[in-house]
Amino acid sequence: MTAEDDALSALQASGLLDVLKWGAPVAFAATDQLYDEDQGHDQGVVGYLNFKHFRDLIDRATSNGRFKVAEGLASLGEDMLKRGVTPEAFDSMPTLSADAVSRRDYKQSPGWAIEGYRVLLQSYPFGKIDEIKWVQRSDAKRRVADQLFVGKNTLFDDEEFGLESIPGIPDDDDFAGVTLIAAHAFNPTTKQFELYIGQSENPEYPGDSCWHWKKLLLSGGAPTGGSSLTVTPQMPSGGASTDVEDVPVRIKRTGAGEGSGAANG
Amino acid sequence: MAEMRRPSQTLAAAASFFNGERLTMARQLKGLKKSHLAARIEMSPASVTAWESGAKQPNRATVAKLALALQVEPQFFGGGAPPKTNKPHFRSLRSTPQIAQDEAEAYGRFVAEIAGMLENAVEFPEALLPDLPVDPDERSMTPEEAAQEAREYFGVAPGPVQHVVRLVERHGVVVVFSEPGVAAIDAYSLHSATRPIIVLNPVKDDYYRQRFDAAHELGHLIMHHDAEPGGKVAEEQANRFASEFLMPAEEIAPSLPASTAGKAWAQLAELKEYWGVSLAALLYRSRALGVMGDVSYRNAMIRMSQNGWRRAEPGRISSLEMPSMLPRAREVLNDAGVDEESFLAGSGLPIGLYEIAASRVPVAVHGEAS
Repeated sequence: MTAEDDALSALQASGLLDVLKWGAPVAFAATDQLYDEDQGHDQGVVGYLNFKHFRDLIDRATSNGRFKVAEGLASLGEDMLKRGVTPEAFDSMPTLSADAVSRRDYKQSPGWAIEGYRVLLQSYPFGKIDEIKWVQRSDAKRRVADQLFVGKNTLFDDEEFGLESIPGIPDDDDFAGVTLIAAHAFNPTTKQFELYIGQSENPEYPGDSCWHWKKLLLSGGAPTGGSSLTVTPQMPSGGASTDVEDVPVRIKRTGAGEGSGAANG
Repeated sequence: MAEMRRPSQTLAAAASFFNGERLTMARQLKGLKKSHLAARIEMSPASVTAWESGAKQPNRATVAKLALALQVEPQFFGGGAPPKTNKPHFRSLRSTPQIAQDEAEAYGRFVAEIAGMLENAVEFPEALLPDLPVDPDERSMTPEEAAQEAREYFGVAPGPVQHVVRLVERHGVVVVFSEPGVAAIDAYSLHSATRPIIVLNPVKDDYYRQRFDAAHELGHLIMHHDAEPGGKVAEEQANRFASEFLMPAEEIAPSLPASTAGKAWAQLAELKEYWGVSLAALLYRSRALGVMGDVSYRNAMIRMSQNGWRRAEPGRISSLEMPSMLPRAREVLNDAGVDEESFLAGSGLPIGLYEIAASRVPVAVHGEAS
């Protein structure tokens, strides 16, 4: 089993993978409702709204954040859980037990943890999954991308030197395990969207990948456009024009006067 | 003829047959709140509310005052309940003040009433629009599919729609310009008991954008019979409908440029004239179809702004598409010897508004102070 397979099966078993796959499209739809280019919205607004919506939905499904269940209670009231999502979205929400996933934030970046893995969120412009520069994102994202990658073919294994290789973010004692990134993108114009999960990497050399591994979880909303041929089209005659006849309007032969309004008395 | 009748007699009838809903309609047509109307006639807002709800009947003197304040004939109030219409679809509901929405809706009811009266005297094309409901999550159908079906239903040959206004008029839709005063509102549309109505913005003096507006409203009429008006999703669906209706993806995608380099602007200008759509609509189409990338699109829009084209695009056609149904009916009646005054006499409907609704071209603002 590779590191990727291990991570994916752990996420699947915990239900967190289903939550991510459920939450992303719901978040995108909510963003689409608000996004308005006429008010100056741009990619930054898309990323920010998606993040806020996505975070809230994951908390909702995993009983974290503002949806945390008080000690001794089985679950939060339905009225509370249903507020802020469409009925369709609520009905399709995966049901996880309240302790299946816990919030383990890293440097103010919200994170959701299961045994051995933690997931942080990152937005990116649609189609640019391989161009994310973690060092420019935040200190948290830079450090996450600095994590040791266990599956890497190193010349010398740590163990050969009698060292124990510890996965995880260097100098982060709060969480023992691998921190992964759920990367989400949505283009409100073409309605295209993507959701990836993977382990991020700071490339050592220009041209190196920014991912140790990544897996596409969702994609859709492909534009209907064909290939772009810059040829002058053959335009047959009969374009738009104002040269038209009136619609036919005939006077009624019988009772022509009745609509004149004069028949008042 | 109206002048012939003794005023006291008219007033007596108007007071006896007074209908509160007509007072609401007249007040909204003037763009007045209840409190404003109350102030004008020096009565309390509660009285206006009571008359409008039908809880109380105004006396003759008050009916006369109301008629004067609202610039309608007294008999207007006795004309029975105004025609039922559904809530209009407004482009930007959030930025449209309630008072303007009410005025627009009342104008829609007024047009429905006028069309109904005209139809007693003349024959109009039968109202025949396809009903292709598109819900917010588009499970039944997408707006693009609805537009393709609509083109087929209307028998539009591949290529551009020659004349959007005439096309919808031939299928019984009443198309009118709105009053110059309510220019804050974009085009809007509504279903009435008899005919669907599209109201065009008289200030938007651009042939290409007016065509898109008309197609957008047609989209509402066809897709959103039951939809909650004003929602952003419905507005965007109507835009997508209009895009596909005027520029079918399959037909236009191969000729759209991927960027505005080289001869692309000349190519866009040609496409604009042929398809009868604005450069802005073509660029947006390129981008939405994935032909043009975000960066090229942004650059193109900057260029549009720098050239002043976002306000006024260059284009060969300067006259608007003109409605013909109500104007033709008015002419036919005139030819038969029925002038505006006698046509409206019994109803008390304001002549000025009738002239606006039955005009081929937008009526200019008269610097009306209100």
